[in-house]
Amino acid sequence: MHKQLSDQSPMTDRQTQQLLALSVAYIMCDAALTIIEASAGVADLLGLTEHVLPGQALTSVCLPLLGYEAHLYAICARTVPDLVIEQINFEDRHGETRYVSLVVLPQESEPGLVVLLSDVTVQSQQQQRLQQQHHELLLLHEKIAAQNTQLVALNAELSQLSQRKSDMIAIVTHDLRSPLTAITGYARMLLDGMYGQLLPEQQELVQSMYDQGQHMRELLSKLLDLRRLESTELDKREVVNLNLLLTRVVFSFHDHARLAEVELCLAEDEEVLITHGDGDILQQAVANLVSNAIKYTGAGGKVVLRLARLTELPIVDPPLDARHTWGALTVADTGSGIAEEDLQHIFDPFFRTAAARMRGPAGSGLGLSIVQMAMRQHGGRVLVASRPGEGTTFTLLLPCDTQDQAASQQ
Amino acid sequence: MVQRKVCLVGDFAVGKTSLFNRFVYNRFSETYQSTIGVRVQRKILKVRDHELALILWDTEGGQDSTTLKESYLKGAAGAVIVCDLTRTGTILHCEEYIHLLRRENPALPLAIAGNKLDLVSPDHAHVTVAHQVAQLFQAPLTLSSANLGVGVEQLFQSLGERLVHAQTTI
Ligand SMILES: Nc1nc2c(ncn2[C@@H]2O[C@H](COP(=O)(O)OP(=O)(O)OP(=O)(O)O)[C@@H](O)[C@H]2O)c(=O)[nH]1
Ligand SMILES: [Mg+2]
Repeated sequence: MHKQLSDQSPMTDRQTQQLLALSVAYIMCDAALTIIEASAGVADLLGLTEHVLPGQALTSVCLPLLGYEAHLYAICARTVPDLVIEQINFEDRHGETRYVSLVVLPQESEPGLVVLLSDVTVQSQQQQRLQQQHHELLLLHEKIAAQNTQLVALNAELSQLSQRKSDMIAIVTHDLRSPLTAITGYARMLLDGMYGQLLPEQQELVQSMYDQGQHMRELLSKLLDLRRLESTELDKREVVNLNLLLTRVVFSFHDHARLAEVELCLAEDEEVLITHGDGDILQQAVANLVSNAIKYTGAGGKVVLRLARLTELPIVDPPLDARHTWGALTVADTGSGIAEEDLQHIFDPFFRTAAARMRGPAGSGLGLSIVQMAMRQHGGRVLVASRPGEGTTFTLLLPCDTQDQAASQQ
Repeated sequence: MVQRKVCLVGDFAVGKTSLFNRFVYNRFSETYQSTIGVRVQRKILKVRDHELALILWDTEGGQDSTTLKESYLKGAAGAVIVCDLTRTGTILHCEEYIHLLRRENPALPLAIAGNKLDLVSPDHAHVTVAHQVAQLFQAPLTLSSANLGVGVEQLFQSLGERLVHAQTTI
């Protein structure tokens, strides 16, 4: 029958010919769409539990053809071309998805239709797997794109906020500076006796005014430093000789240490270490550490600065890039140390330990934030180790060149 | 019994098969199994004392409407355009599907399903966009979650009621 059909039909459509060659079942019906004959495979292909019998309505047996009636009559009358419905899928008895394509053609000899059904499960399953992968990839792509957009928006918002904060600090510090300069200036003039000798009590009060004013000025300049450090990009990228830098810091604190009766010394290292960045910022960072160390080391104590090349990299998070040479710049004191619970907060802006607060208003709580930011800007790290009662050691780790490396780069 | 063919169309992974399975079998799966071709199933609906058989066509979704096989749409008395409320593109593409369906029959009863409601808050920007699209193209929007079974009955029920009256098909 199958053979006969293909012999008789006047099909020229290549696709239909191919389908015919593949088809494994057929249904024949009359012009009223009533089944005349169906091959044995039809029920199985359509996932039906019962046999297809002559006399049944085509659309009741083949549900997907329901709705196409007008089109089917037109095919019978040969007023429209054949109908092809591809890849109708359903679950078979075993719960597996089967795919069937169907073609509806006019009968050649008498008015009626031939429905050819072909099992296209194998190729459809392959197509399904590919399509699935493709769609999953697209979903992932969409997700990443959506997350990116969100991140960009968030980032813009954050930098706007950060900028606003910076602007605020700049305005406030600037606006505070001028009146403060006036206040401390006048206080100085009073203290110097330019308006007559002050009584001892007056002298004391004006001195306090002057000191507090000076402290506020320092605080303001630190705030400005901090703002300058907040930009992640360094403005300057000069060659900084760390050995020289340490010497300069020690020199500048010489008198200060002597007054505080603290021994300040530099443990010399022969190796010259060079880093790249902003020398002023780095010097400020080291100066902040030294100033703290002197402050918290009582008379008779000792502050030692040391510079050395790391021969073994310490384990830090995130890890240090082993491709660099690393320099370690330490400031160790024999002071009061930092309590365990304070250690994790000491780099927070405006944080002051209980011990620092007891010492009165002389600290801003910004010094260590500046150190940390300076390290961040220079790709370095700051580590701290402390034992209450024994002292504290701050270590600045900086990517460096030895003098030879620096020379060979030039 | 009156029988009406209804096609579910929309971009890939918006939840056509999930809505179909929830409505026909009251089941849902988290795992995505992309549809190839089409699956056809009958479901009886009660519309004001009458029974209406919906012949539901769950079609294969693509990246947009261009991959939809028009041979599947023939004879449809109505259609549900499904979009995913978590993916803007799928909402905006509703317009193309609407044009495609109305080109054959401008009076074809259509419904839009804004699916995966369980993943967005009702005041999410995407929900607003879905409402705007629905209003612009005069197609009622039902917010649905095939996952939770929310809005699914309502979606097909309201379309069913319009199908009983309308006699036209593509
Ligand atoms: N959370 C949630 N997930 C859903 C919902 N509807 C569908 N999904 C999930 O979305 C994914 C895609 O769902 P399908 O129903 O397969 O999507 P489809 O539109 O048929 O996709 P194609 O067949 O490729 O066109 C699956 O992982 C579903 O579990 C829903 O309402 N809520
Ligand atoms: Mg699907």
